Amino acid sequence: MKKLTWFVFYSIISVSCLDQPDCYQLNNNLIILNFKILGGSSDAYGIVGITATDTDVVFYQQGPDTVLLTTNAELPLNPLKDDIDFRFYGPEGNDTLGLTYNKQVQFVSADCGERYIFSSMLVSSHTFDSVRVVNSTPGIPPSSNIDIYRCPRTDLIRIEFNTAVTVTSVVADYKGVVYENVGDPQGTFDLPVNLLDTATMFTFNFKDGTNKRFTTTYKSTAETHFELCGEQRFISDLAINTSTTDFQATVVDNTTHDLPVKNFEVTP
Amino acid sequence: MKLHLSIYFILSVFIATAQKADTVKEKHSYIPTGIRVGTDVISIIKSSTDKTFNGWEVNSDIDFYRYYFVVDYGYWARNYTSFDGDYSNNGTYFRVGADVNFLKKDPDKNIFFFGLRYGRSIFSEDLTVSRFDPVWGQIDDQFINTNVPASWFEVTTGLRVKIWRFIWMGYTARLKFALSTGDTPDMKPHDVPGYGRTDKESYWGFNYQVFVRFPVRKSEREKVKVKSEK
Repeated sequence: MKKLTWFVFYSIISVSCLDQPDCYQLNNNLIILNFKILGGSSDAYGIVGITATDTDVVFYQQGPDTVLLTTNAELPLNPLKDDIDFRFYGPEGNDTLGLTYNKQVQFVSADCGERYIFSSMLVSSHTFDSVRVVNSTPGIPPSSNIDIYRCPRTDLIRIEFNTAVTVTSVVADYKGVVYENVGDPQGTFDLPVNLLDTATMFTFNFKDGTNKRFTTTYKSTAETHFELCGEQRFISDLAINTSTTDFQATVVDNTTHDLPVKNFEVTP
Repeated sequence: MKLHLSIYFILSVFIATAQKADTVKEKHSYIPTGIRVGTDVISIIKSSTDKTFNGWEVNSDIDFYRYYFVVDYGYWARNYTSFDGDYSNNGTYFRVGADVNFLKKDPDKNIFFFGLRYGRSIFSEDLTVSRFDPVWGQIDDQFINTNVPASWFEVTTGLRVKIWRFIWMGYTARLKFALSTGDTPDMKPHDVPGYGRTDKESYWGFNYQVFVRFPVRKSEREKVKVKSEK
């Protein structure tokens, strides 16, 4: 009987406690942006930093000129306003994303204070290729709200050395320097070919002062895969021009992909 | 303790009723025999002991045979101080509804009832916020909702027991649900007078009530009881 009494007492206490609001994660002010490639999967988006209007805080800043590759970004909405503009600083340029939303405040309890409830989020402006709101109400915990798409890059080939090499720069015959490094050993190189030609020669400059050539030939065809991206040139039939290649190399995949996959395997 | 007392009430009324061998064949009359007017004791006690609450409630019912038409009217105000702001609200509310008495044969007109209510409130809220946010800096803001309408429904149960002559006591337990509030674009209501916290899909309420009954006529059963006592 005594045990039963205590059981009932603690049950009542626990039910009473459950009646109190939990102060953890009351606000749904965080949104998640997913970076994607049109027609493909997640994109590894390069971020140097992201700023927002009305705050000096820089999000996702790893350090000066340090690029963070990420497939998504979690960003806060401003509880003082009904709109916000984000600016994305990347290694190849900047982008902006403007959002509007409804916000409401609600008092929760003396212990928790108030919470902000965000809803009806819309994209008001952007400089990305395409943006889609997948969920206009931020969740608790945060969940995917906006998909940011870019047109696929069709010019990147991947050359993989079977042992890491110390390359200081790679020069493309049509463009100049396409890769630079302080000299860390590396095995994988994603390099852009000339879409307006049928062959590109790359010169690898090694740390020891030597250099070697790699020439690929291909077919470049104009096609429209996505209305949004317009006509793009797609690379196929990748091959190696052995007469102007100083490496021993084999073709693994003869078309370009975004994100790149191994096209050539090379012995230094 | 409240629970124990309530169970006592129910049991005692049932037992008392069961003991009365009823052989009277009564004609059902839908003409009211009296009006009960009372107040919620919990609100009065809470107002004097809880610094965050101030309120009162008046309850009344009128009988139509075993059915009771019920009207409640009340006021409540809340005042909270949190670590980063102050919240206050106040407003009036009323409930109308009907109860069905399941102790039909009690000559004292003690009742054990189930009922339904429609509740409606008009209230105002005020929230001031002052805090520092690590991203957005100092946030100083004030939000006001004025004369917001709200409505809800209740399922009720309870007792009314005659204590002495015209004095009655009882309780009403109410399950409130289907809350609807008017449009408040800037601040979502926290607490609706008569209902409670708005973040609950349903909400329990409880009143201990003291009534005064104003009889307007004697029922057939009361007449029989008076005769038998003579």
